[in-house]
Amino acid sequence: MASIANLNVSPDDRQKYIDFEREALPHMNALYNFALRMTGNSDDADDLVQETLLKAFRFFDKFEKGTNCKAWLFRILKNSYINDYRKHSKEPSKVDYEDIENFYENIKSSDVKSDHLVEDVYNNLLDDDISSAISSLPEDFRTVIILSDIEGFTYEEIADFVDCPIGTVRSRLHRARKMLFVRLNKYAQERGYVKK
Amino acid sequence: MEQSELFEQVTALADNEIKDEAEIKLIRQLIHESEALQKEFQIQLQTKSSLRTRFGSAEAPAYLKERIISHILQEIPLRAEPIKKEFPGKESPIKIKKKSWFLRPQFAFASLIAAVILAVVFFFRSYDAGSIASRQSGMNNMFLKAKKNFQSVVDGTLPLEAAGGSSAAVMEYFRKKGVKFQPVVPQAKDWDLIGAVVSDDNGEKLPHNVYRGKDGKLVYLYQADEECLKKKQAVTLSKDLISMLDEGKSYKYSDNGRNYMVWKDQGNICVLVSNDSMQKLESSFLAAGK
Repeated sequence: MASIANLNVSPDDRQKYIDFEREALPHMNALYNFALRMTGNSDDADDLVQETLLKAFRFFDKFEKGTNCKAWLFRILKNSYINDYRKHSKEPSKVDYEDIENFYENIKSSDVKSDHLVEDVYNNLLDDDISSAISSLPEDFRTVIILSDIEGFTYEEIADFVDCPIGTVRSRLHRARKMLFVRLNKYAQERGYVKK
Repeated sequence: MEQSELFEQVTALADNEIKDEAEIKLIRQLIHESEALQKEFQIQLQTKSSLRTRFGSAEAPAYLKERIISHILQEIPLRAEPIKKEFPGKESPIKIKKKSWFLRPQFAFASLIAAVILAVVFFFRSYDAGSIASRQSGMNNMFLKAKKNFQSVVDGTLPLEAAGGSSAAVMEYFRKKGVKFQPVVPQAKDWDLIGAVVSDDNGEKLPHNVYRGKDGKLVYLYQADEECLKKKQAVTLSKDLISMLDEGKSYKYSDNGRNYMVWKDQGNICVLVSNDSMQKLESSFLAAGK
């Protein structure tokens, strides 16, 4: 693997790279994971993560040491995603909140009949089934569920990322999990893993 | 509390986002008393833990990590001057002795003259082959890029898109891939054209071809037209090297088992790197272009 050790660079540049390697590069897996689930395509995820980390390196002088580097990187990724990726791909699915509300209202908790149903659904389905169910969620809902459940962000960090109040994050997350579960429950029923 | 708000509070509890102990106690009590809330809590908790377990530890592919680090390193400007050897700790006694000798008044004028002579010698020496190579710097420098790319060819990490074969087929590949100028694709004797690739250098599509000799030695050729180098500056070379090429001269340099040749052919700047002998390269590639 390429290394800075053998390059004839200035001490400042060398130190900048060392700091970046220590602070930012450990978050590459998290960035990739998020990019992959947002784009649904490994080539696009590769490009998005590469663009994010190159931009981050260029502007690393602006990063305030001691603050949350992961959140800073995710903000750069978000901007790259909106400006570069989404601009060239098809328009994101527009969220009709009324439809979502209706969808959500139609799901009753009583639909969950067995005590072990939720566990059975998740245990029996394959990763691919769950991945495609996540991909099928509207973007606003997909974003919060990935950031919270896969990346482990707090409500405050998610609110900062999606630029909305914490209450909205909580509400979207609640609905996102419910929608995801209903879709997975449907898959599980179709495959005979749980009773209809 | 409205039912929808209560459900969202259950979500917040599953996420450890409620800090107030009394509130936590209240929500837990409500969950305990309501079957609907218990199921809601179960869905929220199970979804969260299943996603975390299944997808939380996914890793970026190794090739991507390598590619990103390589790109970042290319962003760092290289210094032309050699790395200064620093003595650990105090200055060497020899150095101190020499400094004090030169600082004596009777030698001050002589020191000045010597310094001027050294500067003049250095000025003229700076046009030798090694100095030109050391003046190539920056992330867009063709010479440095060619050096790195050749190493990737040797390591087998430069993905060649077009299969080798005839010059015509490779020329057609370059055209289809958006190369705007007419590249040089020598059909050199004793060398098989094994593949080609087109890079995007600051928006300009530039061609690269790779050859293999009968003895397994490799040649890598990287080209740009003059407009790309001088006007658009999508790639760069040091001014003295450009002047040399403009005068119709070729530049040759050897270092660490690698031979480099830079020349201008039909208005294209060609940078060649190989692990074969300079003599063989000159007869096969430089002569072919004349």
